[in-house]
Amino acid sequence: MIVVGGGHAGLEAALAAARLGCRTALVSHARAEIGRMPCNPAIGGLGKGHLVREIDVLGGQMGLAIDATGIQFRVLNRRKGPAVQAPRAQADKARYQATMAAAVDDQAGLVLIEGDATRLLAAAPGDPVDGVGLADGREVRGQRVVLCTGTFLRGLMHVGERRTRGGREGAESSEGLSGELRRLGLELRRLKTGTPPRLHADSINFSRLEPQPGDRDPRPFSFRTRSFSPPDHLCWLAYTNERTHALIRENLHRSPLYGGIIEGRGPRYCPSIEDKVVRFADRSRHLVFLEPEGEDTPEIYVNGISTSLPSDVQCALVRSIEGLERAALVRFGYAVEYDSAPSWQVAPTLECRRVPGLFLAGQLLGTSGYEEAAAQGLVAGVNAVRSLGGQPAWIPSRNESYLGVLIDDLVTKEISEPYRMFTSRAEHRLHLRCDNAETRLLEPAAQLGLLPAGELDRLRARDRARARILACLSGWRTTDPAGGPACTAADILRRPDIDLHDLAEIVRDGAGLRLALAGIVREELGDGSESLLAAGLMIDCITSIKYSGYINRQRRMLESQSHLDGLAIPADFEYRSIPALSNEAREKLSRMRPATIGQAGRIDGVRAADLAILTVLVRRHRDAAPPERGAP
Amino acid sequence: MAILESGTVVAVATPEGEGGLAVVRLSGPEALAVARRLLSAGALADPVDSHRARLALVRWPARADTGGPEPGTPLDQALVLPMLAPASYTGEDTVEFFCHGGLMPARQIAAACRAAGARGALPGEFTRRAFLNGRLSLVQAEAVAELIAAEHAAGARAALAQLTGGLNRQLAAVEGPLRDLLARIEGALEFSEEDAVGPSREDVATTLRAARRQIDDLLDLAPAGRLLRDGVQVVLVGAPNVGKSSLFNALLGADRALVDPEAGTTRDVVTAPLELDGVLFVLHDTAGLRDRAVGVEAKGVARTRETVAGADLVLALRPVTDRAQPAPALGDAPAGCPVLPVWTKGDLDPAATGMVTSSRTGQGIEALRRALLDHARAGGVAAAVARGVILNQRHQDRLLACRETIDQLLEDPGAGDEVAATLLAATLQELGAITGRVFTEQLLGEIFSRFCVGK
Repeated sequence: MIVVGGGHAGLEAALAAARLGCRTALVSHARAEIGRMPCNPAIGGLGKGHLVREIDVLGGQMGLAIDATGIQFRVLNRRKGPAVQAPRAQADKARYQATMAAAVDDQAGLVLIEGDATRLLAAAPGDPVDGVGLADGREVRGQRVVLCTGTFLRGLMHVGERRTRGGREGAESSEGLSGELRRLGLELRRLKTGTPPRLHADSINFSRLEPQPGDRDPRPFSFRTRSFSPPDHLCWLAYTNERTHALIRENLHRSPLYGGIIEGRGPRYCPSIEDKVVRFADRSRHLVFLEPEGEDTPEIYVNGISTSLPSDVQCALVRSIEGLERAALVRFGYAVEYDSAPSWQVAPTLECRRVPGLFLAGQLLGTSGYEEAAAQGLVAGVNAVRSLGGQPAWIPSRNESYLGVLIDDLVTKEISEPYRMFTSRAEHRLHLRCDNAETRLLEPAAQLGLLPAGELDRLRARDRARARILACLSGWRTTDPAGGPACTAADILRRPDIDLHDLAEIVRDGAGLRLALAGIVREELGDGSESLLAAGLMIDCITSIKYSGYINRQRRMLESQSHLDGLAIPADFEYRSIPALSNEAREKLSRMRPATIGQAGRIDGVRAADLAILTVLVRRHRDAAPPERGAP
Repeated sequence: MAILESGTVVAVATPEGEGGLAVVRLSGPEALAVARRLLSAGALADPVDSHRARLALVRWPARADTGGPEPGTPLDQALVLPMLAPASYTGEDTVEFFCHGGLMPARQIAAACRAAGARGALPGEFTRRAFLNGRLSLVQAEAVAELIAAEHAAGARAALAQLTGGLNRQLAAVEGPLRDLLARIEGALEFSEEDAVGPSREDVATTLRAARRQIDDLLDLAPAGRLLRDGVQVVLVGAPNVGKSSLFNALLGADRALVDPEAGTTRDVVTAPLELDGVLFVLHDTAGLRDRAVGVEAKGVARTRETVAGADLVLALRPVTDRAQPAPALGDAPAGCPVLPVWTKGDLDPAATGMVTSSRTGQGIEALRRALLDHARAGGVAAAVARGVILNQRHQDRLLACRETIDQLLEDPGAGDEVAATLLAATLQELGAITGRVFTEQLLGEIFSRFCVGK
C-alpha cells in the first residue's frame, strides 16, 4: 500500500496500515515535510478535540504526538456543559514534526520514500490503481493508494498581486496529479484557504497585551499518556481597531479575494480579516490571539488576521494594533488556492467510486483542519487494508463518533467550502463527548486491532470499572437532603451543580461511598499509576449520569429518523427511472449513491417527499428480491 | 406494509348511495386495453384522444376470465373519459366511466373491468399511486384523506385549507423564532473563544414561552378538528314521554324516530346527522331515563348512559307543563360537557320562558338550531376553519411532544446551553415531521391507513 503525502491525514493512514501488518510506503517530498503544521500551531478545539480523542482510542497517533510536544493545554468551554468542552493545545511545531517523523521511522513495515508523486498507475478510467509514478521516473507499485496531498494539487499562493506556485510557503506544488485524477474520471474544483502573518517575538510589546495561560490542571488528549506535566507557555490577546479596519477597507481592491482573482471558495467560519471587516462592518474590533510556534523559535502566529493583502498593507495593519506597533513580520500571510475532489466521489470508506483501490483523505477531499485530515487518514488507511484482506469495511456511525459524523457528512453533503467539524453537526452531541471516547469506541477499537494488546486491556479494565461505578452510584440508597422521597446517589448527582465531592458530603455514608468507588478503581485499574485514566473515567461516569435523562429523551425523538439509517438502498438502485423524484434529487442521488435511506435524507436537495417515494420503492425492491438462502 | 401494488386496478370512485351519477375509475398500464374489452371497436380510438369523453355502451367483456353474465351483455350507457399518463389523478393511464347512479350500474362496470383483467383497488390505492408518481405530496395525500373523511362542508373546507398549507404556515410561525434561537445558542457554543455571546436566559425563556403559547393555540384547535371530522355529538335526554323523539324529528325536519304517546317508546338510541350552516351535528335520541325500567327498556337505558358519555352537548329536556320536575339525571356525561336545558311542549303554556320549544307548532326550533351552531362555534370550529388548521391525532401527538420538550427546557434550570440546543434541534425536527418536511416512515403508514376504496 502507498500513501502519498506525509501530512496529518497521510501519517495516520500510513501508520494504521503498517500497524495492521500491511507493507506500506509513505511518499513525501522530504522527511522534513512530515507532520508539518502550515497554519496555526495548535491541535484540538471544539469538535476537533473530540476527533483527536477518538483517533487516539482507535489507535491513531495524533493524541500521543501532541501530548508529547504541546506547550500549553486548555479545555475550552470549561464553564459550559461537558458535551461542548474539548481540549486544545499549543504545539511546538518543530518538535511535533520530529516526533511524527520518529514514529514513521520506528514503525515496522513502513518505509519512507522521498519524492514527488506525479502519476497514478492505472491503465484507464475504471481500472484499479496499481501504484504511483514519481517525477524522477521511479515507480512505486501497490494495490492500494491513499492520496493525502493537502493543498498541493495545483497549489497557488497569493500575497496581494503576487502569485506563486506552491502547496504552502517554501514547498512546491504538485502539478501532475490533478491531471491524473481528471484522466481517471474524477471531478476537481478549486478551494481556497489562508494563513496569517507571523511576527518576531522580540518586536512585540507584550506589556500592552492580555496574557492567556493554559489550565492549571492540564489533561492529556491520549488515554495512553500515563504521566503528564507539560510546559505552560502564554498566549496573548490583542484587538484590531477602527484604524485597522479603515486600512483594510482602503486596500480591499488590492486583495485577491476581492479583486476577483481567487476563484476558489474559502471557509466562512475561518474568514480572512478582509472578510470579517466587510461582513461585520458594525464591529469596532476583532479578537487577535498571539500564539507561540514553539519553545525554540521566536515566531509568533497571529490567529485572527488570516489575509492575502499585499505585504505593505499587512505590515501597516499589524502595526495598527496596540502592542504590535513595532512588530516585525517574519512571514507574510497568504491565501492558497488548490484543487480538491468533491467528496461525493468517494464511498464512506473514502475509496473513489470510479477508481478501485484509490482512497482520498484530508484537504484533497474538501475539509479543513489537521484533526479532520487525521480522522480521514485513519478511516482511509484502515479500510484500504481491510479491503485488501477481504474484511468488511469499517464505517463509523453518526451515533457513535464524530468520525462517523465527518464521514457521513462527506458522502452526503455538497461541500462548497472547506469543511470544518463543529459539535452542532452531531445530532447525538450529548453522547459524543470527549470524556467518554474510551467508552464509546472500545468495541470498534477492539475490532480494528490498531491498539497494542496491553492498551486494549486497559480500556477493557476501564470499562469494567465504569459499569461497576455506575451500578454502585445507582444502587446507593440515601435520603434526599432536600427533603424529597428516598433516592439513590445517582439521583442526587443528576441535580445541577452537584459534583462527586458534594455528593460524598450529602449522601448517607458518604465516606463509605467514597471508599467503595476508590475500591472499584483500585481493583480494576490497579493502584497508583493510573490516576489520569481514573480521573477521566470519573468525569465520564458523572457526566453520563447527569446527561442520561436528556440522552434518552433525545434518542427517543431521533428514533423515528434513526431507523431509516438501517434501511439499505441496493447498490444498483436505478434513480433515473423514478419519475416522481424531483430533478435535483434524482441527479444528486444518482451521483452520491447513498447507502441508506437515512443518508439519502441528509443529502441537500432531497426533500421529504423524495424520501417517502424512495422508501416505498426500496421496500418493494427488497420484498421482491428472492430471500437469501440460509437466512433465518 | 404493502404500499405499492402493481397492475391495473379498478374501483367505484363515488360514495355508494343515491346520486344521479356514479364514477368507476380504472387506472394502470393496462387501463386502456381493459376498457376496450368492454366497449365496441372504435369507442376508444387508438391513439386515444386524451381527456375527451365519449358516450358509449358498456358491455360485459366477450372473453371474461370468470363467470358472470353472458359475454356481450349490455350493462349501461356511460360517458367514457380516457386520461393518458401522466395527466391523470394517479399519474397513470386512467379511464373513468361516468354511469347512471345507484349501486348496480357502477358495480357491474367495475366487475366487468375485473373480468377483463383489472384488479380491485385497495383502500387508498389511487392516492398512493398518485403520490408515488409525484402527483401529490405526502401532506397533500394526508389532506385528501381528511377530505374524504369529511362528510360535510365545514370539515371539507378545513381539509382543503390544509391541502393548501394552512397548518404549514402556522407551524412555520412557531419554527422561525426557535430556529433563530438555536442558531444564536450554537454560535456561542462553537465560537465562545471568539467573543460570541449567546442569548440570555431571559431571551431563551421568552422565546420558548412564546413558542409554547403558539403550540397551545394550535392544540386548542384539536377538539375542533374532531368536531369537524366526526360531527358535534348532541344527545337528547329526559324523562320518558317528555317529547325527546318529537323534538329530535322537529330538529331534523323529518320523521326519523318513532313517536308514540305511550311513555318508553324509544328503547334504543336513534341517531341521525344534521348539517347546519356547513357544520355537522349528530343527534342522538335516547331512551328515557327511568329508574324502574325493565327488560328491553332497561337495556335502552344502559345504552343511553353510554351515549351520554360520548356527548359534546347534552340537551336536557323537561316539559313546560311540569316545571317542578327535577332536571333529568345525566348518567355519565363527560366532565365539562355543556348541558343545555330545553323546555318541550311549549304550546301548552304560552307564558313559559327560557329555551322553550314545541314540536307541534315549531316554536323555538330555529332558536335551538342556532344554539347548537353557537355551541359548535364556541368549540373552536369556526376558528379552525378560519385558520385553515385541522389537527388529526398524529399532529396532536407530535405537538404535545414538542410542548413537553419546551416545558422541560423551561423548567430545568440545570440544563446547559448544549442541552437546550440539542433539545431545540430535536423539537424542530419533530415540528418538521408534522408537516412532512421531515420524513419519517411512520408517516406513510399513518396516512395511507386512513383511506377507503376508490380514492
